[in-house]
Amino acid sequence: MKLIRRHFLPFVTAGVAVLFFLFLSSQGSPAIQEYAGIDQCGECHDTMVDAFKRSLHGKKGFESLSNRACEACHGPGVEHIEEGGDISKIRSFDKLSSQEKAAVCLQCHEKERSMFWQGSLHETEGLVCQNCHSIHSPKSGDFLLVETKERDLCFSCHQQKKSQLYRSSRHPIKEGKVNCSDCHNAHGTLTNRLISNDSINEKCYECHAEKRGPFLWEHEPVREDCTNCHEPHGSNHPRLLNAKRPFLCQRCHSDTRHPGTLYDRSRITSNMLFNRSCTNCHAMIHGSNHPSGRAFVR
Amino acid sequence: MAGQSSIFAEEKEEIKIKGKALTGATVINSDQESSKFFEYRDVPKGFSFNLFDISVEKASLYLNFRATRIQQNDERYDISLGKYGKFNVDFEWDKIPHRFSFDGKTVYVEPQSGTLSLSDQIQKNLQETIGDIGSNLAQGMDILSSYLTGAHDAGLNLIRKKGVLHLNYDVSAPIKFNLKLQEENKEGTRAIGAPLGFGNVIEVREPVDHNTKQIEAKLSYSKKWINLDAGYYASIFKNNIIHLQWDNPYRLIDQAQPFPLADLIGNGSATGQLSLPPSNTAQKFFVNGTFRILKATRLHTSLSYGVFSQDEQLLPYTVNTGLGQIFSSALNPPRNSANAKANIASMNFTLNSRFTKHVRLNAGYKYYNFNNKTQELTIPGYSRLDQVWVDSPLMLEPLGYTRSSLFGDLSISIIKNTSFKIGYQSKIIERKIGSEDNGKNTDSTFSISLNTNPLSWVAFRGSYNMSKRDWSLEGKKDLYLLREAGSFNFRRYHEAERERDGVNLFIMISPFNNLDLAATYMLAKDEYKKSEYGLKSNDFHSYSFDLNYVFSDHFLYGFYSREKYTGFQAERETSKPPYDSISLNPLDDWSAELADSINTIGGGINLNLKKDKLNLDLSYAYSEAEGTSDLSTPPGGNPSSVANFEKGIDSTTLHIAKAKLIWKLNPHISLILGHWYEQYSIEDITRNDLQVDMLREGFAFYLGALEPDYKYHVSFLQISYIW
Repeated sequence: MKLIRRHFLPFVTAGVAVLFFLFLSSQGSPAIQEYAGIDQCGECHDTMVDAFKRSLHGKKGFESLSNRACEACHGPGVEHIEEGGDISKIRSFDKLSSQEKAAVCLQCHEKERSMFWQGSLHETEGLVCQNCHSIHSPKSGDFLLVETKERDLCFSCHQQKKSQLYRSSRHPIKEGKVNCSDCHNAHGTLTNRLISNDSINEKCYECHAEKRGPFLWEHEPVREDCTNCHEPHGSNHPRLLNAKRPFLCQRCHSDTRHPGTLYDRSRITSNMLFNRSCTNCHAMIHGSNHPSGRAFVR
Repeated sequence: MAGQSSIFAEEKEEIKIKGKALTGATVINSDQESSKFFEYRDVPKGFSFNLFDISVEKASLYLNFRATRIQQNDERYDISLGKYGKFNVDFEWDKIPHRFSFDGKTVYVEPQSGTLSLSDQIQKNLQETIGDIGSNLAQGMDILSSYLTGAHDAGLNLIRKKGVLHLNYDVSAPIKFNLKLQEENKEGTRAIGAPLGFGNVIEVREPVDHNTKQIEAKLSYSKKWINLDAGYYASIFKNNIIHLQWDNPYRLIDQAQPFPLADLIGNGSATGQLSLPPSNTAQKFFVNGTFRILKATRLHTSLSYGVFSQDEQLLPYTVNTGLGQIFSSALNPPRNSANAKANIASMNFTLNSRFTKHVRLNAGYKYYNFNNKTQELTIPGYSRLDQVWVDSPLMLEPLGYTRSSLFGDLSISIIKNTSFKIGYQSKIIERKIGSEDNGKNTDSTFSISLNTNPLSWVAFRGSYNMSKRDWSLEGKKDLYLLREAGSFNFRRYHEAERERDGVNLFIMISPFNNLDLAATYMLAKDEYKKSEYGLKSNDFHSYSFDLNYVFSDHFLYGFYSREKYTGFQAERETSKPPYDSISLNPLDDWSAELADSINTIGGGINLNLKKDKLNLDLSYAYSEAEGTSDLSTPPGGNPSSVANFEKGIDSTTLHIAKAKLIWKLNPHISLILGHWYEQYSIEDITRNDLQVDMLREGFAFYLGALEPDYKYHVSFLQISYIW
């Protein structure tokens, strides 16, 4: 037994090591001569290759990521060419599963804005890069989107948000002054609703910094979440409010005298209903910095 | 065959220039001018330069310049230059108008920013007529009405001017630097309520002169196993007009009557003063990272710590010297400045792992803390509308909160292109006033969803979630004082116990090539079962349909959506003395069911009448929104009956029809002939009969700033040149 251990064990160990090394090396990248080069691809796919060269991915400067051009995504093409264009010898995206398609893009793009893609809301709903982006036939030059305008892309799934564009109170999305990506990162964030900031309120403060405070007198539901009162995508109530004043305010305030009063048609011109309703007086509703601002009237 | 030509092997360094310019003339016709049509845009009459776009490239260097709506109030310019794969610099200049109304009128003049004046003669006349206790109110209002008829035009509009500079620089392969600098000025006027008593409600123009500077600097590090971003963000908001002061039309000389005369019109200060939003700053450091633990396992993290602060000088409790005689310190501020500050901490961790090809786990923890460190303040009382001194000591304690959640979900894909997900989340929000607990909500959510692409032409997504929110102070805290034992279980909906159900269904089918049909259904129901009063339920449901069809060289699309929002709330009216506690009589209850129904329909067709020569684009969209209310009260109380609004409380309709014919004369020049019709109408019970002078109806005068209905026809002829 001792003899076997002394003489054979080293050979067995070495043999395992050699096998392991051979296995490892067989997993390495394909030998260089298996890549055909873009000019070879262009022999058959000339239109696509010309368009690719003009596109963002085809620009010089991406060598730091890959100089394989078409084959960076489609894999080595020599066998595909030698077999007369056999589609099974190349990575064809039509044949790939969603995860496999995304994995190709994520080789380079799983960082910065796409850092949190894996496990994100869109990813876990089964979306992949190719649902929104197109390398070969984008409709928009910016970000290679499959639609001309970013918002049209989002609306292809979020149809209810499209109808909110037509409301009387809205952000200037139709005018192109605000885009969906100004507030949301479709590639994933760790904040709810794909908000590209640490909270909904911090996102709102980027454009509405006058609401940030902190104030001497804080209005609790305002400080916690702007969407307690506002619907940012569009509303048929003024100032993007969720409901009509004074009823909106009365959902939290029903004190003696005017807060709890029923404002019906008999009181239509009352300054507590008419025009700006409660905010005719309680103008500093987002918070007051006045010593007498307890009820946000100063 | 196995050549190895790099894409970049033999590149000629020629300069490539391409561009586009679009210019033309527009004719506008309307039945009446309305600010609503121009709310966020200019539609210039006559000649305008709509677009100039040029891009220059040489090898890996590029320069792009794009200008739209040139020399208009909604113009935008973008410049981008850089070297692909190395650096890029973007600069954007954007002007965003916001027009509230062309129709406002005011009797005030603004001799300096933030000061709204009436002539002393007006104030003297009214003070002498009405008297110190409002004895001749009717006569005084006649006089004020005569002044209001001479009110001068006072349009309301804001304009934002924003410049943004972006720099991205690839330092070396794994490291990238990103810098964003932004400055925005917002100027103009908007409406603000400036009351000087319950019977003295005034709407004036708030002068707006805001400047916001933002900076974000970030370093990114990317390797196969790690992506890391670390950076700093700061925002400095400066309000150049922080106080608003305005004259009281009824008083030239301050006075302060004792109760019960204090609230009468005729009593009060000669001027009012309020604090506009204070200048403030925000700063934070942040780190975001993704760690690739295994091939299909990621640990995502984001951490940030920052501060909001403002230390604006405080105004005195009141400017009414009459109140200064009641309480000597009323004319001084409680302290020099606000000394307001909040520390913000945010922490998120998510672990996502694909255990096998078919099973995936997502779990994590989120934390957000708003730790308000504003210096506490004890005040002996306060001034109400500069009319009354309320002798009620108060302690201002800072409001803060912490939100945290623990969540996990499991996805299983047994069938190809189908995944089933089940998840659970526990969300907690803990509120504080000063150092005292102010209640905690615990929200537990259970969710399931199904995503499937069973065939290449069918996609379905469906989800259901159910949540239950508890409130730690339920049964322990009464919001309003009852004189004797009784029931008035009023709850505030942002913290009340709640049960929520949500359903979201989406299906898309492409039965034929180039035909996509999609349908969505959404349902959300909130019930506040423990809230006897306050918001009791809030429901939303919507369904929508979408069609896209490409045939030959043409494109047809259509969409329809219907939404309904319904909220039900219950209240109790206490409008008879004594006012120190809520009525105990349930006959004084009332309730309101508010509903908003919205229909939106639209569609269009793009026809290539002659390929690469003649193109016609037609589109139409229509949206109608109707708000209704159903108010009720039991008979015998106060109110004893309800006068419901007959026609609904608000309704808006919008039609937009567009036609555009593009005639490509040659590869460079196209002629574009177009027409667009837009019609908007609004009925709103709170604004339909808005006038400047509503003294007799509501003891108020307003700016009368309406956004009227409109019908606009816009015709344009443009020429486009591409090179």
